[in-house]
Amino acid sequence: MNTREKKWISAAVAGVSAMMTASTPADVLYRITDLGTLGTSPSRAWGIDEVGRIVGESSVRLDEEHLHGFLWNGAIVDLGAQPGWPHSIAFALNKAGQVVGPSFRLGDMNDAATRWAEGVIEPLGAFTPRALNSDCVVAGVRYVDDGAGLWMEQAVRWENGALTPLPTLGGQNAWAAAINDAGWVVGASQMPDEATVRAALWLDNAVFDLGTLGGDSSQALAVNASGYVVGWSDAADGTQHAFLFEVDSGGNVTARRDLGELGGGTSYAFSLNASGDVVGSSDDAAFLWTMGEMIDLNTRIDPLSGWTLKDAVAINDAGQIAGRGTVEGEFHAYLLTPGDSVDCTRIRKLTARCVDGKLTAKVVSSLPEGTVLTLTRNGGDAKTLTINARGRGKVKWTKQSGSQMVRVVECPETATPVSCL
Amino acid sequence: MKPNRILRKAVLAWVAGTGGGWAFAPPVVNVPDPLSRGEYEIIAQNDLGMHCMNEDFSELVILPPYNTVRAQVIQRRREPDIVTDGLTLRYGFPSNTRSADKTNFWKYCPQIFGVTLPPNVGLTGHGMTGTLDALPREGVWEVSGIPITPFDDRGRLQPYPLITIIALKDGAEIARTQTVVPVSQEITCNLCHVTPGVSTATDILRDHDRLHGTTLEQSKPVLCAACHADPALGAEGNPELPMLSHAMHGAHAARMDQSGLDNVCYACHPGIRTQCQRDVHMAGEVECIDCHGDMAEVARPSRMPWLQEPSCGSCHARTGFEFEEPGKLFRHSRGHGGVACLTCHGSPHAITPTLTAVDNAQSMRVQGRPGTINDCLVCHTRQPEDNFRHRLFN
Repeated sequence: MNTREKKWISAAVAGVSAMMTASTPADVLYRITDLGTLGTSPSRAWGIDEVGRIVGESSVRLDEEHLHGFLWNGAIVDLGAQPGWPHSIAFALNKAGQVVGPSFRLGDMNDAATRWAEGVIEPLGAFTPRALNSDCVVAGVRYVDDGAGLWMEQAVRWENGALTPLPTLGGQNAWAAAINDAGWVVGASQMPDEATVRAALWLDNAVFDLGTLGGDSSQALAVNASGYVVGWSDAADGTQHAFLFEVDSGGNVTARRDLGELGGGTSYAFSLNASGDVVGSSDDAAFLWTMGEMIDLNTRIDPLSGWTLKDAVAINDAGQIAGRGTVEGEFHAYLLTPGDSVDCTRIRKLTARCVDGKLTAKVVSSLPEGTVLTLTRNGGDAKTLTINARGRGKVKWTKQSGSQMVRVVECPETATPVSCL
Repeated sequence: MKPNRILRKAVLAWVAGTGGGWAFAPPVVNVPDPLSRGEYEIIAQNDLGMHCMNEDFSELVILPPYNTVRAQVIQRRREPDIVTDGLTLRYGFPSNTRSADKTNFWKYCPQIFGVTLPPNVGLTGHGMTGTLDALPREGVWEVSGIPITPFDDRGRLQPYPLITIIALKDGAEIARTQTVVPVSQEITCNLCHVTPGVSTATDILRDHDRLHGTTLEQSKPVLCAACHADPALGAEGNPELPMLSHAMHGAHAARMDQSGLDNVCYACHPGIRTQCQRDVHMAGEVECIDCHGDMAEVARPSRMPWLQEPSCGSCHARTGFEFEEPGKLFRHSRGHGGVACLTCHGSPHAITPTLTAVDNAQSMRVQGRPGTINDCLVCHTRQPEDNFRHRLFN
């Protein structure tokens, strides 16, 4: 548990409104990184890990049909699809660098669940993976025939090759959207009337109705390690709003918060981090909800950047945000990194040395403490460092060999070669 | 070999091996037990086979999210009845319950269409759940203008979402079905309209301003049908200007070689990825222009777009058969005592058997195999002894 998470939970225990106590300063500014495409627009991000690696999807070429999942780690890489399947999406990744998502063919009933790990594409079965945790337990959905020729959506959990269907709240259909490291699965399930759908939590395969903000329907889209759940819900006034619910280990909702909106009568929360910072979309704009306030992220980037941020779908504990926006008229995936644009003239030195395959790069600067920089080696394998009070920071890569070029992504002119022989 | 080609060969082989007509005896799988069939059957279809909508509404708009589904309820008897009263038909999309975060249609709707709509509610007042309206004179139930987008609630691209329709009598379910409500955002203007630093929409508006002396770039968002009449939207436009379909096809007819596509229709119509045309005709390598004519033909001013479309009878002929009713399109026509053409054959561009498994699902459910619904016992409780009548009336 990191410091921010402890602070968050301490606040809750102390009886303070925990949901008022998030860690990202409301006036934070961000640097934006265009993740590019695999050949042509559109691209969109779906997940981010703690070191800023991002997964998503992109069209491959305009004059052919393929949509492929990607991994961005300083550079965008095509993950491909399972053989025989034209399309793929990379929905989620974990600390170990395992990525899951569907390979699929438009018009087929079921997708081919796919795991990408260390350059290997592995089939997991016939379902759509939507999330995975650190133990590579996967949550998702599959279509099943009800026996009378009708298709139902079934929430599923995959673990070590076994696919387990999860129960519904009484309706025919359910699906899973997210899973945390404790194995909590959240998503949505139809109610017995089949007209309403509810945010659902599965604990040890028992299902719990998380309720709404006063309206009929809701969906849960993400859960963090502390049991905070976000999604959207109908409200009593007819709006559809992002929510943040606090849930205990018995599946009881102990606090509900309507996160408001930027306009248009709707907002949707897609992700949260350990600190309880929430991201989503509202009124055709990406938002960050922090310190009790919903912020239009378009107001937190350089207004001359040319970007319009449409949604924010993932946030990590460092406050980095991934999402989709438009730039030069195209839809592209983006990465937001907290901190104003980097004054590259304040980087005094970038050094790199390699000993026994361990590559260490150090930055010496007069940059403000807390500035986050992204370093790549040979154009990929990105790692972030945070500048300390002495203006310094470092990153390490292990098991390296051959010639390497280490570069600061924010200051592309700042680079140094190093040899790992 | 591309998967699509494999499927195409499979469908072709299936059709060829069975004669492709009413007399065929296709491979049968999982035929529903006639004794287990209920008193009512319901079959539904989308009316177009594919609806196209804009991805972004902030600059240039051709089509809003707007999907229409028609259903027929059959009371199974020796001589079945088509039921249009005394029931409630409820619909919903289990995998696709919301649209407001998947398109910016609602943000720009007041400027474009002059109406402020609640989120997730379309131009006809229908939402992502609701009920179908009975149209007794046509013998069908219909819901129009569903504002569905081609992304499910998980974010996966899904141009073929399944709608579930449940028929209720006195509050109790008597029948249910599922069918595809196809939708795509593939309007690939960016194959050609590319100017670095500006959006494709802006590039188009600038070209229009340059060529026609307009000031559209300063008037965003622009609804094309505001000036160029479009029967698809019921927009009368400016009568001194060509209709939208005529203007688009006429202006681009000579330029499509630049697209580099095998099927140039997919430069603008969905699409390279979506493959609107995915049915038994496509399996037989019948291309778009084989039915619709080339772009110059579609641009012919005397043709009324959307209202004058190819007819089955243009190619098919069979003694004793009628195809579309006189003056009606396939999607509005009926035969066989009032059964809609859509009901047995599927949607235009998705005439079963299709290359897409999901479009075959309804046929599979009611008769255990894809293709035209031609198992008499789907609707009749006993095998009729007289000859099958395809025409509407005797």
